[in-house]
Amino acid sequence: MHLTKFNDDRVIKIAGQFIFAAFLIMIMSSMYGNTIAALTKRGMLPGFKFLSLAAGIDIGEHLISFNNSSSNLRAIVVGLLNTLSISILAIVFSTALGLFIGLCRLSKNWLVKNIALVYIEVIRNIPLLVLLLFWYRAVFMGLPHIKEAITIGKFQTSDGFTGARLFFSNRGMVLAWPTIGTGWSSYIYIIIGAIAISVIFGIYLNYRGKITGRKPMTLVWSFLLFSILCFIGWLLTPEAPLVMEYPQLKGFNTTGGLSISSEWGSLFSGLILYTSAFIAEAIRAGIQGVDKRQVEAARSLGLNSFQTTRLIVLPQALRITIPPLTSIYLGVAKNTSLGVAIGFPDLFSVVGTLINQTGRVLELILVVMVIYLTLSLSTSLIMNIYNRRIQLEEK
Amino acid sequence: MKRKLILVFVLIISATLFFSCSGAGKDTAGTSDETVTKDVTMKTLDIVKERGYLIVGVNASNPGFSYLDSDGKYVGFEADMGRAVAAAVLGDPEKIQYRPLTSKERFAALQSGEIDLLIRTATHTLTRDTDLGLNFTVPYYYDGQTFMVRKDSGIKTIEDLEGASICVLTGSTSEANLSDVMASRNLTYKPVLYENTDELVAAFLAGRADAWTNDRAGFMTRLQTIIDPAVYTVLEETISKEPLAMGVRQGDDQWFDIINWSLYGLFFGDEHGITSSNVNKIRNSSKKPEELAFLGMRSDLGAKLGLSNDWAFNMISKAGNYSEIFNKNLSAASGISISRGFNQPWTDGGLLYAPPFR
Repeated sequence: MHLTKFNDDRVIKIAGQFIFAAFLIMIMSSMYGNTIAALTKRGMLPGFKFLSLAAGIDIGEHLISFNNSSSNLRAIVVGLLNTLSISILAIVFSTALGLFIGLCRLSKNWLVKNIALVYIEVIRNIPLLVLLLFWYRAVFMGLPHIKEAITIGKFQTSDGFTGARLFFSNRGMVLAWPTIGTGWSSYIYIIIGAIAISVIFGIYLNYRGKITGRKPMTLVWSFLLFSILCFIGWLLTPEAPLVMEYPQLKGFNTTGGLSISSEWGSLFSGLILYTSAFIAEAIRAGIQGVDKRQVEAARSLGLNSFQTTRLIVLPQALRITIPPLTSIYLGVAKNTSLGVAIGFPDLFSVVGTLINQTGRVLELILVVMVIYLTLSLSTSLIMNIYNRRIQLEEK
Repeated sequence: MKRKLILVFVLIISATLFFSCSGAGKDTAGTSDETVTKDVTMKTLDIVKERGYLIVGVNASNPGFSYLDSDGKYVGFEADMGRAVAAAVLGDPEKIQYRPLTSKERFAALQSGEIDLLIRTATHTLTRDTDLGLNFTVPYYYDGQTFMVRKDSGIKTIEDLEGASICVLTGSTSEANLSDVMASRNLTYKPVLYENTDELVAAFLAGRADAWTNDRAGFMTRLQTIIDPAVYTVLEETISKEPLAMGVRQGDDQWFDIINWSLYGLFFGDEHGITSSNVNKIRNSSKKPEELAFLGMRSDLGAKLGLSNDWAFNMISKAGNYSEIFNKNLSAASGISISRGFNQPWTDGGLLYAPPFR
């Protein structure tokens, strides 16, 4: 009786998994126990209370307010927002650039095709850190000093300072940027109205598309309508809703306008260059993966070249491209941590500072691991949902 | 079916092996290798004596304080302080081994027992003293943080730094000091943080920032390596206290006492003019009871520390007193000219003050 049970395939399978799980739990708990015991012995009991204490440092670039008395937790959030904002922008721009280069790579023009080939092969084979140091040391640090900055639209203000549309120096780029003016509160209603009209128009386009059987370019037309409505509204608003703020050189640095530091610029440029080369290859693979006969069939049905690409090739290429694209996107968020080498205060750099100020190595490394893991998992979740949506529905 | 049975067997055997290993690991609390015994229950003095040499954590690239010279030897003020301790404990300044450490690694190396003593420009602060599981000795060097600027920038005082970009090394006390000082004086500034000194210096020299903040002694040693040092100047004002102290593991009072009193011995030698060249004469002819006690002639001060009675004699005669070590590494003769400032005996207006040797 006993023996037959042990010979039962299902029992063995379940038992094997139990033993494996128990084995894993034992390893984890013994590691945890050892760590806690060793730390307690040295009077360094782990805990997370320090997160609410004042960090006592300053961070050069912050999207939310941060000063000397802000808490350690807020410092981590500042770093996280820096990482997130640069990752999202880098993903958007490198996808656009990567798509362009990927299409160039498939061009029938010999020169265009080979320029794209050289770009991809050179950039893909240089380590990202080297690219970043190149941008920072050779490009941005090679720019003139702030006192001799390259300017566009230079003028003298009434109180004797130098203003311009754009300052470009080795401290980064500062450009004139719109800020909210007196007419903003009334203009906001025009924007809401424009959005509503554009959405309704888009729904109508889709509805008509279903009847006629022609796939409409809903997004393009709706956006065009939205822009036109906003422009008309701008002319009708009596007071300017947005006013340009021009940067001025006061003392050591510029004030006002939108400021992009050299560190941000270097990291952003390096990331885009590096990531777009990989994306270009993924897109080329996707397009070449579409059966040639699909194109031939589309052409023989009378679709022109643009329609063939938009309606036949790209939707099918997307299915092949999404999985490799997901892992490239995952890499971008993690690659921003290399910004520490050129002084960009991303999540990893801020946490490195906090580790040294508080001495809480274990806790902070745990926090960073959890954050990066969450970032990566949510990116792949979104991409997986999208992937499932564009897959062929088998009937 | 048979294969699965074997698989289950292998799992069970490996699990048993693992648990027996972890059981054994708990008794020794940590691993050990041939040269270093990391057992925290053992006294550091006994470990050092048994091993026959002292292991000191230092910087490998801080000119003047501690660096590797062209012969692969560690030289500098801090390296020589380590030699003095080796002479006091083991009677021979060369019975020493250095471990190069970065500022991030330094405290962990001491906590884990990899080194016996940390001498690596560590500033003594309350948080470090309590949170890191270590004790700081009496300071061996009083430093202070200040700013380096271009002479033509017109910056003379800290108030002139309003709105400036300031570069600073991350992970140092300098970063927090800068933040505190600027906040307390209501000055705005843009910090530019670097992980690596070389990256920082390159950016500062390129004009990325208007000022660079660091410890005064650090500037003096760095100025030697800048191509055009005459263009730069260091502000007069000092914004922080940076008492550089040695670190030892917490919970070993005997070793803590030994390191402290070795330092006091170096101060005492300086204060009383006992140098490596005249220490023999003083031991034989001095009339002062404290000097004789210090050199082990009339009492057993060394034995009270767990050392030989001629510990201080060995230290001064083989490694020199405080001012000998200072002058050798940081005075004009060495190419780095740092004034003594607070780092001279209290009798000369400095802060070096040794309690009585009795």
